[in-house]
Amino acid sequence: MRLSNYMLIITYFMAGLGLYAVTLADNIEPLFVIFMGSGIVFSLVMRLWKNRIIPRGLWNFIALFIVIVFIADFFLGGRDLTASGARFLTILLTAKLFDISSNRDYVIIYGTVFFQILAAAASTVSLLFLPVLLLFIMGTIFAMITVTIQKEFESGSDSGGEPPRGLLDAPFIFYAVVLSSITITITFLIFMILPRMEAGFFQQRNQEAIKIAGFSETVDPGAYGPVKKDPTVIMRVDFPGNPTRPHGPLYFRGTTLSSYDGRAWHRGETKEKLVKKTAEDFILPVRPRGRVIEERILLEPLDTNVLFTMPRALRIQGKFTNLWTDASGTVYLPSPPFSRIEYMVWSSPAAKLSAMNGDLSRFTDISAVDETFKARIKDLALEITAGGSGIVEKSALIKNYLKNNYTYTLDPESDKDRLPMEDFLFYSKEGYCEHFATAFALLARSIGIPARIVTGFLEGEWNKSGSYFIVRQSDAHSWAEVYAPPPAGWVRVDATPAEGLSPLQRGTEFSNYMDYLHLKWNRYVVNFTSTDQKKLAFTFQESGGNIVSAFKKGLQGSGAYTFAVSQFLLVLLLLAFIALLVIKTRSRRAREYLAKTPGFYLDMLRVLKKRGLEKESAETATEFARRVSRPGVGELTEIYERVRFGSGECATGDYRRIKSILHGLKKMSRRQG
Amino acid sequence: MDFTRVYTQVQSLKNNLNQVLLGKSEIIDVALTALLSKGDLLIEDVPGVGKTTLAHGLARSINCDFLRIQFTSDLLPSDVVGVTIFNQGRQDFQFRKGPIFANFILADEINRATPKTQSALLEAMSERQVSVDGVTHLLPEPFMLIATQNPVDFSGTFPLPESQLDRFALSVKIGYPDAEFEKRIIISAGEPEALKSLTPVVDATDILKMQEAASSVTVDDDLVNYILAIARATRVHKDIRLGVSPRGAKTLYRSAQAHAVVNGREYATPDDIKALAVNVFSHRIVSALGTHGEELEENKAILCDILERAVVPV
Repeated sequence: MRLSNYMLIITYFMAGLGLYAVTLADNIEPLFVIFMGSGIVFSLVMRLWKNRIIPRGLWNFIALFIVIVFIADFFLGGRDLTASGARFLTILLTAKLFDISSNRDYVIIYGTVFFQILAAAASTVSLLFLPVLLLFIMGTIFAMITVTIQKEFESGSDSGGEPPRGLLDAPFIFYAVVLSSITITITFLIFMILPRMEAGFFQQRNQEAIKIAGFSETVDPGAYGPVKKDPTVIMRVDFPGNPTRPHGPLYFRGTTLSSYDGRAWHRGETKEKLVKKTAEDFILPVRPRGRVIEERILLEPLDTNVLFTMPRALRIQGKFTNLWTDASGTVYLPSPPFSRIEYMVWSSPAAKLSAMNGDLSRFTDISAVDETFKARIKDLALEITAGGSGIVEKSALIKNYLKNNYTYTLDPESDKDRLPMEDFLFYSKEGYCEHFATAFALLARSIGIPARIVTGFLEGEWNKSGSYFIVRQSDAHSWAEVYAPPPAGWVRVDATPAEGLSPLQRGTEFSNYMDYLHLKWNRYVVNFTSTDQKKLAFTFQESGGNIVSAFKKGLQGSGAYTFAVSQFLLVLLLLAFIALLVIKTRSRRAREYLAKTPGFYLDMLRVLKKRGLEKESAETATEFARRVSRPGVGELTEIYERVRFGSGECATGDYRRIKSILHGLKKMSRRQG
Repeated sequence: MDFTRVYTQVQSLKNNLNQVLLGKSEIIDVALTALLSKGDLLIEDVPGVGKTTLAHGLARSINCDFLRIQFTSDLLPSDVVGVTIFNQGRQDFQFRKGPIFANFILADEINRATPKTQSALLEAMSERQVSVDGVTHLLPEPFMLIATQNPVDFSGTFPLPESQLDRFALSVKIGYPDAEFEKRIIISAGEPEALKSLTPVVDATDILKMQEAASSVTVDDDLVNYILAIARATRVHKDIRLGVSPRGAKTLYRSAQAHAVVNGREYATPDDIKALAVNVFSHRIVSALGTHGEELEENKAILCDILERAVVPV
């Protein structure tokens, strides 16, 4: 087949691929696709009939027109850059197909297809995108080979711009495809087996810890609010045993705060004890009740050493040297993590925290509050809880009162003269979770109900692509816990109105998809560790062992299924062997063909050509060597003739000579040219 | 195939011939090429440049029979191939072999013989056999016919017919020697002395082996295409009335093989073809220009023109 036909085929293949990629994107009307598709087909028909379709000079005007159309489309059509961009690229590509005249045009077309695929990537979550991308990679490799060959033959005048017949036959395609697949495979394999360092220089603090304002160990209502707008991802949570979305809302518990200094909350628990450690797990002193949820948490580096879990963690698995816990059930790391950490938690939401022994009085302490304000709080609390009895009922009344009479807002009106809580409770009556939780705790404590603040995160956004929750800085939340008499124990009370519970920051479908890819990339590429390698090797070893044992079993006739499997594997091996044989014979044949004109001779011709010494087409190599009469040219010509027309092989000594002669010629040409 | 031995023998043949034909190594190469390709050689030149010396030198260097036939207008076919005579003693017909039953025949001034006599050579040349009175007699091996003709003196000559010309593998024009060599020729003791001092370096079996070696020389497919391109170009060239026959193309192929051996190679190169194309084709084509007496020069010019256009495989 002629080279130009190859170029044509690969170009239209790429154009088709680009168009298809665009159809994957959202907001592209089928009518547009059909129209552009017919344009592409029409250009092909025209091309087969006539070489250059658009007259020289007209192209620039057309391109300008297309750009104007694009700008108009962008501003009039909803300002969707992806969609207008995809439309623009498609029109550009279709128009360009009518204007191919040089190699540059082909490269422009491949570049346009690349951007089309980028545009598709920006707005599709379709799994069809992956094969399109793979085909594009293969196509690009193929196209680049073809363009390079075309260039080479255009620069060599002997052949008149056409490579010899037969060069571009089936073996050529075969090799282009095989080579690109081998390259991709080898890259993958190298990645898999490249030794990983368990810990080392490069893993030292490779990420800046997120200054965690959304979660804090002290809660100071009024001090922040803007954090609720911060979309920084704090953690990602998935449920390995169960990829469907669990019924929410889920709370990821951080730490508890029990002492109030009149302005802010502080941690009250001081006594921390080491968590019991087994070979793999850390076992917490919690008795499971009801169902157990298995969650996997990927925590970004934070500047706190609190480990977030869903309430009542029973068991934690992760690469920690040790963990600490306190009476409130908070789990601590020995130090804040300096890189992203992954851990598994088994938690039982219905389990109770072990009953408090000892004094509950510090959970009703609001002594730090100003006396008049304390009195107002107490009055209000009594008023609210007038109709109720018992801790649970009273708590519910307070919670509902707050939920119904206060407004959730991230930008509360505040009066600098008043205390933030006073402002919230009696004047502005608007605030966010910290206000609600603090108000609840203060109201409860004022009438003797033991209460504390818990900080943590809400479930965040469910990522459909990867079946996991994305928890952002903006999902930081605080709520309250009250202590009901046994057997109830500490019970969660969230006084924040519903509008404060839904995630504020939502990614687009695409950003979620990218987050998912990013996660997988980080998990399996960036953080592909020696442990993973070991695991993989073990899997192979295991499956290898399985195959052997299955085969043995199969031979003994003790399992039709395993026998079938082992037979299938045998057939697979056989096929692979046959394929290898075919490749080997093919490659030998291709080598024979491609070896016809030794490369070193072509190199010499190129070097001499640079110096203005060009071999005439009717000149034999010896005649040319005689005419050129440069040192080494004669010798090289002799070797060339022996290799080209004789045995077809180069002696080992020849290579050295060839190299030094070519080197000498190049040096000379540089010096004199 | 023992190529090394063949090369040494070719080299000693060349040395021998160089002693008698001074400064004409290319002509010697062509003559040896004809010998190794089992082809016949046509030497066209004016008298006194060494036509006979070349033939003699070749014959003397090889331990073979050598016969010279001086062609004249009254030479009869039977004078060449032999005659059947009646043996009175034995009372039957007996074939008496003519001079053609030798390894090397020098047919001097072949164009002086009548067409009838000339055509008597046809069978010998193409089939290496002669048929007399219905009986076929094989010629000895190796066999080579070296014919000479004078391109200037045309009076009383019969130009060789195309069919016979086509059977000569190669034609060669010796040409005048360079001044330096001519001087050496003048002062030398004389041709006969030089010739007499030559000793045979190879024998008939050696020649057969050399011929075998030549026929086993590698010719790349692209070189065959090159030959084809040149041959076909002669058929469409505007100045040529009759182009080269397939036999001519085949002869170029075999000559190129022999030329490779003569130059110490086991493989042919484009140079072998380019160097021999004129020798193989010049007597086979018929120029359309038809200047009387200048045909040969014209043919050579046309062929050179073709060679300057034919793309040499790289």
